[in-house]
Amino acid sequence: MRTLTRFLLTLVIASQYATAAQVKDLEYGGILFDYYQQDYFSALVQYEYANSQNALQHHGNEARLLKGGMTLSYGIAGQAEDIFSQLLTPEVAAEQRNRAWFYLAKLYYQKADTPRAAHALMQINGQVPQEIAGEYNYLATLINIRNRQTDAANAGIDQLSDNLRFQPYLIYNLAVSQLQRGKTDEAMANLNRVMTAAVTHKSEELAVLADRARHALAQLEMTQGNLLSAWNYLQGVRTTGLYSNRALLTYAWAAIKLKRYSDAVPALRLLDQRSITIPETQEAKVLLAHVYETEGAKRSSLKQYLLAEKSFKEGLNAIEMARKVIASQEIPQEFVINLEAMLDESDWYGMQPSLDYNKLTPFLTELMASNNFYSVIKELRDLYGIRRNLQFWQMQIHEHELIIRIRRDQTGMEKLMADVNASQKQFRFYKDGLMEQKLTTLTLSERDQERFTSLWQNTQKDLELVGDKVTQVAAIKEPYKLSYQLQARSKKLAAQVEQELSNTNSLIHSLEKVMRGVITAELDKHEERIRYYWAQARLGKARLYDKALNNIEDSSSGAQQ
Amino acid sequence: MRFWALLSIFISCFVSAPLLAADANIDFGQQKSEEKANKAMSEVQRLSGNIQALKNRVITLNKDLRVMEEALLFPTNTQFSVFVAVEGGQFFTLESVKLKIDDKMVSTHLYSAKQREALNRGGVQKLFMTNLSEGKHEVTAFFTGIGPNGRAYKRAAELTLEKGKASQYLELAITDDRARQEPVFSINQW
Repeated sequence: MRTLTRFLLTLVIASQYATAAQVKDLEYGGILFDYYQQDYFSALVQYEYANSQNALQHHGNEARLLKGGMTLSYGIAGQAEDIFSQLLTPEVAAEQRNRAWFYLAKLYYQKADTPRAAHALMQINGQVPQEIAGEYNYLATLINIRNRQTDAANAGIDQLSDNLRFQPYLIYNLAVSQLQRGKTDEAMANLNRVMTAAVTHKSEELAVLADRARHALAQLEMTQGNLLSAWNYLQGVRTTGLYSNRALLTYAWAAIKLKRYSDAVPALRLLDQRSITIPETQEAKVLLAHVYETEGAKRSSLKQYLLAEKSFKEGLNAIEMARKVIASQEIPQEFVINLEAMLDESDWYGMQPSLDYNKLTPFLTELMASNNFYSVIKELRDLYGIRRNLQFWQMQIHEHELIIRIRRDQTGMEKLMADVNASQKQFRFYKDGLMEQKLTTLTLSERDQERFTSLWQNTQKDLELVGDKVTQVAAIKEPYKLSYQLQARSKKLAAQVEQELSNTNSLIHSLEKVMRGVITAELDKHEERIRYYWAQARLGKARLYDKALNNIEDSSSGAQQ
Repeated sequence: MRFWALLSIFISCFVSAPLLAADANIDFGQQKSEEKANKAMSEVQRLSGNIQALKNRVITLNKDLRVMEEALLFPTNTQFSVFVAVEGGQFFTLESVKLKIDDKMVSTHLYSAKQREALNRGGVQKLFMTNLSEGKHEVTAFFTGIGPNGRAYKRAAELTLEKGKASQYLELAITDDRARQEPVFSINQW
C-alpha cells in the first residue's frame, strides 16, 4: 500500500482538466461523437465499422483502449478485460499502457476484487494521463479505504482538496469504514468535515450528502445517549430532500425520548402531510396520534387515528393499483425507457414520460436506489435498445431486398440512351443559343452590356453543370449491376437479424419476469408495513374508545351511588 | 355491558403498551424482499453471459449490415460524406448547420447540448452521406449559433470541388481565431 500512496503523491502534478481529443481519422472522431454522448452501442458499432474500413490507422492502440472502455460501459466486461490485457505489452506506448492498467483496476474494483484492483493500479508507472488523474486518485483512495489504510486514504483525500466531485464522498466513505471498525470518534470527525464542505461549497449534491452526514451523526449521538446533541444535528437537516423523511422521524423520536412532546408534533405533522407511500409517513401517522394521546389531547388523538386509518386504506388501494400496472404487458419496457425522464434527467427537448408513474414509482423509490435492481433495469434497457435496433434493420432489409430486385431486373437501357442523346442535342442547342445571345449583347452600349453580364455568367455556370452531368451519363456503357455476392450477403444478414431478434425477445422475457418478481416483493413489503400501521391505528382507536367507556361506566356508577 | 367489559380486558392485555420505540427494527417483509432481490441478481448473473454474447454478436451484425447497406446504396465511386468538427469552440456555440450541394438544401441539423459537448471534446459528426457524380460540385454550409459576447451569429462557408472516381469526404470545420477572438468556418477536403 505504500506504493499506492507514493503514486498518489506524484499525481498532484497532473492537471484535472481534460483536453479535447486530437482526431486524425474522421471515422475515429465519429466514434468519439457517440462515445461522449454515452451512446456506447452506436460508438461500438462505429468502431467496428471504422476498423473494417481500415479507417483507424492513426489511432491504433488509442482506439482499442477506447473500445475497451466502451465495452466496459456497455456491460460486456469479459471482452473489456481481454482488450485491456492485450494492451499491457511493452510495445504499447507507456501512456496507453497506464490507461489500460487504470481501466483494469476500475473493472476489478467494480467486481469487488480489491486486491487485483490495487495490483493493477500499482502497475502504473510514471505520470498518470491528465484525463484520468482525478478518477485515478479517487479509485486509489477508495481502495485504500477498503484496505483500511487510513493514512494513505487521508493523504489521497487531501490531494483531492480542490475536487468537489470526489473529495466529500471519499471523506464520507472513510467515516463509514471507521464506524465499521468501531472508531466512532474519528468517524464523527470525518462526518463533521463533510458538513463543513457542504457549508463552504453550496450545491444540491453536497447538501444531500451533508444531510446524510448530519443524520448519521444524530444516530450516533442517540446511541451514546446524547439526545440533545442528536437533536442539534437533526435541526440542521433540511426539511425537504432525499433524507428529510428519515431525519424528521428521528427528530420526532429524539423529542419524544426527551419528553418534549410538543416539539415532536411539528415534525410529525410535516411527515403526516406527505405521501402515504413513504414508510416514515406511515409511522408518523400513528406516532402523531400517540403523542396527542400521551399529552392528553384525546379528541385530537382519536381524530388522528381515524384519519390515519383512512390514509392506510388509500395506501393499500394504491398498492393494488401498482400491482395492476406492473402486471400489464408493456409496463416493464415503458418503465425502463422512461426511467431517465422519471429521474428528471430528461433530454433537452423535454421528453415526457408516457406512463402514469404516480401509480407505480412512489413505492419503488427505495428499490430503484438498489444496485441489484438497477443492474436488471440497465440490462433490460440495453436489450430493449437492441430489439429496436434489430426491428429497424428488419425494415431496412426489406427495402434493400426491393432495391436489389429492381436493380437485378434492370431494363430500359435503350430508352435511357435515347434520352441521353436527346439531352445532349438539347444541351448543344442551348449552349449555341447562349453564345449567340452573348454576341448580340456586344452590340449594345457598355452600360447595357454590364446589365447582362451577371445574368449571362450565371446561365453559363448552370449550363456547365448540366453539361457535366450529361457527359457523365453519356459515358455509361451499361447500367450498374449488383453482384450476386451482395444479394447472397443480404439474405444471410436478414436471417441473422431474425435469429438475434428471437434471442433478444427470449432474454427480455426472462429479465421482465425477474423484474416483475422483484417489484412484487417490494410491493408486498409496503403492504405488510401499511397493514401493520393500520392495525396500530385501529388498536389505538379501540384503546381510546375503551377508556371513554370506562369513564362513562365510572361516572354512571358514581352517579348511582 | 358484559361484551364491553370483555373487550376492555382484551384491549388492556394487548393494547395497553403504546408505541414507545421507533419501528426501525421491524422486518416488514424486508428479508423476503432481499431474498427475492438476491435471487433476481443470481438469475441476472446466470443470464449475463448470454446477454454479453448477444451484445457482441449484434454489434458485429450492425457493422456487417452497415457495410452491406453502403455497398448497396452508396457505391465507393459515387460516395460522398460530409462531417462536422469543432476545434476549440471558445468563440462560437453551434446551434444548427444547413448544408447545400449544388444549390439544393440536402441536410439540416439542430444540435442538442450533449451533441455540442461531444463536438467540443473532439467528436466528429457524420452529417450527411450521398451519391455524387464525378465532376464539379458546389458545397455551401450555413452555421447558426451564438458568437462572441453572446451575439446571434450566422456565417456561411463555400467550396467548389472536383469529385473524382473514389469516395470523397468533406469536413465542415469550426475553429477559433485567437488573434481576432472570433470563430472561423471552413470546408476542408480529406
